[in-house]
Amino acid sequence: MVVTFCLSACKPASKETTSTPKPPAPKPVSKEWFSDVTDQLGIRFAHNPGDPSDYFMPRSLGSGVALLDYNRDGLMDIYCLQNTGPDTGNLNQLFRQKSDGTFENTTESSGLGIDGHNMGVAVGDVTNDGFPDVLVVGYLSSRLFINVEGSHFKEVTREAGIDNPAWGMSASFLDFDRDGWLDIVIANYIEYAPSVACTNNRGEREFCGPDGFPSAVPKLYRNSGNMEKGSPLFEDVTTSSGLARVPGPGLGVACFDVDGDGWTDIFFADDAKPNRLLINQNNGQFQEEGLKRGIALDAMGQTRANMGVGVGDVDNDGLLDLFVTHLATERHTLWRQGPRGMFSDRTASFGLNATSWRGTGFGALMGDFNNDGQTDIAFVNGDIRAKMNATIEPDHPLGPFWQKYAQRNQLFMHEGATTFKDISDQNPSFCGDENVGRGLVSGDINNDGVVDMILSGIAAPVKVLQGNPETNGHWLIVQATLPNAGNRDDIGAEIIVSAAGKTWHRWLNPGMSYMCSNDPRLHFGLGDMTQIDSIRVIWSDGGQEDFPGGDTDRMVSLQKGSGTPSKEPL
Amino acid sequence: MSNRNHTEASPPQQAPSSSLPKVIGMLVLIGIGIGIGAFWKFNQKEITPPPLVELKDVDPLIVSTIKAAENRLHSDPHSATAWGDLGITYWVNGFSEPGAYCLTQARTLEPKVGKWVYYDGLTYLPDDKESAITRIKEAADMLDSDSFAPRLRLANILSEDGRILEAEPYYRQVLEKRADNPMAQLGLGHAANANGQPEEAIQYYERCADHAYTRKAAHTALASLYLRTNQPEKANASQKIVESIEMDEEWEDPYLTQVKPYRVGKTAWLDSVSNLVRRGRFKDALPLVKKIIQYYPDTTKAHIFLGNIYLSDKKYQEAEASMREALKYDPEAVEALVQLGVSLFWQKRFDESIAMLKSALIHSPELAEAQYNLGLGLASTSKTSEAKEAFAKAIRSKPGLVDAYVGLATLFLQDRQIEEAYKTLIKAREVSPNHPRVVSLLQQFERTPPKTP
Repeated sequence: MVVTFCLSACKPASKETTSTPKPPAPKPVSKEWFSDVTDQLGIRFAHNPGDPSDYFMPRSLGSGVALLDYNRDGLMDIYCLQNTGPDTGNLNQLFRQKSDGTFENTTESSGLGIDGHNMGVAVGDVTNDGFPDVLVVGYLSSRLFINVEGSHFKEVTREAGIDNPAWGMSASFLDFDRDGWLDIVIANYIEYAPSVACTNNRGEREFCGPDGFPSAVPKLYRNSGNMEKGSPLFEDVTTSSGLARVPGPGLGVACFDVDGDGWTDIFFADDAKPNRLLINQNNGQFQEEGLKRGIALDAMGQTRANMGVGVGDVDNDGLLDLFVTHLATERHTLWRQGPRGMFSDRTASFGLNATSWRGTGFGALMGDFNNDGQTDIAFVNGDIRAKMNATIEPDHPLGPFWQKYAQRNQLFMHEGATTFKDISDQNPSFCGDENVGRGLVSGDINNDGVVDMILSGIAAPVKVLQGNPETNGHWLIVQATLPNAGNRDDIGAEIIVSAAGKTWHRWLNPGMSYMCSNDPRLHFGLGDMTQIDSIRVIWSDGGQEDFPGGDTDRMVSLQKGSGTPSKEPL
Repeated sequence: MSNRNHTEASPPQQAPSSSLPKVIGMLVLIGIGIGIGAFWKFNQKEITPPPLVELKDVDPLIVSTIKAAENRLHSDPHSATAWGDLGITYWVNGFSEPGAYCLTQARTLEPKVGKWVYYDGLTYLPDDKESAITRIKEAADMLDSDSFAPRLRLANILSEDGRILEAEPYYRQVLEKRADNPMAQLGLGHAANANGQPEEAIQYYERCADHAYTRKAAHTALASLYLRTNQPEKANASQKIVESIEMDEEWEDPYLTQVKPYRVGKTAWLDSVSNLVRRGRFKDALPLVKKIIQYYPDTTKAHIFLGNIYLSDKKYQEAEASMREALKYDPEAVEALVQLGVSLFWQKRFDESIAMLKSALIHSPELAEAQYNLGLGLASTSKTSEAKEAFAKAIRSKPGLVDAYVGLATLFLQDRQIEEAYKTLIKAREVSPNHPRVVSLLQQFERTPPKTP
């Protein structure tokens, strides 16, 4: 006798493909830190990366935004970069802030309406006439525009000697030789070959990453201080400065005095390679010391995809720290400085590993967004690899292509001495919608003492977020200028505010985050301080002056030479 | 004549009661059979088929490999091995979720086989580390007597996630059984560093600083620690070592070695080739490149890899053939054009070389290497001023390309443009102070310095 056993009946096969789980919807907010005022302010700009079906790599890396007061009326204006490509007619746009707080588009008469694969923007006064000039870098293009008395801009790239045929991502102004004239550093990325077709693990087309392409050499241009036919003259000192010896796939750049010798150093956030920290040797040369100073690699000694750079002082010890964003599969890194000039990865000990979700981070900021006297962190996310098995939503605002790259941004509040708390869910205006986030700038757009932000995402309208005035805490905004240089911002200065035995440090350089230029005025959140004792400025040439204290909740403009030379250490 | 009086013997008649044992026996057997069947059925986990996966636009070789694994499963749906094979095939070829599903089934069928638990855990990386960690912890315990690999991987995952202190006991457990394990030493170095114990960290790092798996990583950490502990010379020495190593050798996880053959297709093979070429292992890369070409003859990159391997071996004719093949499929492949130009140059076919390099520059005008090679070609045909222009363009595009400075300076010297040559060499020295050619050319100037205005 044969006894047979049967399988139980099979369930019908599922017809659905697997889908990527979405993060939970944000919880209702009682005191959100930001509100979207883009439409209210009249900013109408949509980033257009062009047709992505060719997987041309620059399209995937987005564009930056600048905050600048180009007409010196005390109101911040906004410059948005476009990345559609040359000869497309899709131009960068300039928006001038009017006295009522709304903006008007002044691109047409500005001279800044250019097309191309425009990616990074830096703002600084290279002619010392007091009016900020603009440098735009991008794919095989770097262009310098000088500000003609606040009315419009004139391109002087060739005349000025700016010749950078490489792929520029971010740029910054700095006075590396302390001669009083702003120089230029450009973080170039890779020597990309568009004919190379990249794929994902399954063999499907995808944007290339930096692997397989040679790293590019950064560029350093020294401002001679001379003018010819209305243009400043720059000298390419890339080789003599030593920068030509250290190529790297630079995405972000930040220029600050790291080792405390009063001379500006240069940090490059390098994509999938060790970060570079070029220490100024005070003689026109730089020495790469990222590895020795602990900032080249993370705590595991591993290279990360380093993108955006936020600069701030997380523990109020007077030493600047850096927050650098990475891929979603990596942890964004907080490099805390201590002792001076040495960095260590303190991401975990500051609670920055405890996140609601993970994204591939780009533009990053460290600032006091709630004016409680402590530094918070904000960054935008947006992937560089399409989600696999993504369910395409037909009505998604990003369209069928870019929605697969969209992620939510993140916001961390500083709690206690050494902890950050993820408050992304409580801030839907900034973190609620998925986007392919790239640029992020901060500044006080409406001059109310609360930090505002502007986001630039791929294939999306630029978003202006106003800081919530209901946040507690007092504040101070400090502008430090050089009267002998047209009263321009003293890029490279350090400002220290003292109150009730505490100090807050800020460093003046708007060129940080990712491809962006921030408000050059320095914001201090002061918690419950209603009075400050003093303000010390360490000028970029090393001189130090003290200025009197006074009430908080105001804007202060400090001019070099009008303070009292500092006699004692703080 | 019949014998009616003879009675035939009848077959012996059994008593009616003797058939009962048989019947009872059969009933018992049937009962046992039903009982076993019911027991088996009760314990038989319900087997659902694997999820359907969209394979449109996927590499055909991956598709056929998946289909073959699916067929093996269909013919033996209760086989843990069949489920496991399908799961691994899905996972390593980019389908993590169905891979996890299948490996879970394999686990269910063979719950005591640790490798299914391990692989299941690995499918959750990198997106869901918590799920990965839970499973790999379990696998580490199950497989501990066979291999330290799961435990070490668990420790590394925790460390990379910033949970170095959680990782520390696992590194110690690895060291208990294998006292010389360099990765565990490295991990404990990271833990000590995170704990603010630089001296202890240095000890651990120094113990693994010479091992091929950990040399670069250890010296990277040591460079910074030596500087912090006021040992600048040691810091510099470590930095030099770090700069001299492209990447550490990958440590052998036997379980991952077993699954490597499951990853197929053009992307996988090209990644492997790229990895090997980056480590200078051209001989190892060659058979794989040829395999890619066999399966995917129109893969430009594979032909370029092959050509580059031939170039490294000075087989210029073969290199030329490979690059031409690459260009058949992609006439605008800049790398192929440049390398074709190089292979023609080395065959002294300078005019053809120049033509190829100029074609490359049409597509990529700022490509410094193409400009530099063009300069060499032009110089070889005595087109000096064009050669100088090419070298100058190479320098403009890539200020760090010291050979371009050397090329330009040599032409200046040839044309007795001494001052220009000197200035060029000074710039070259700024880029690469120890470049032998730069040093030797400048030494000539030291013997007879140029006149300065």
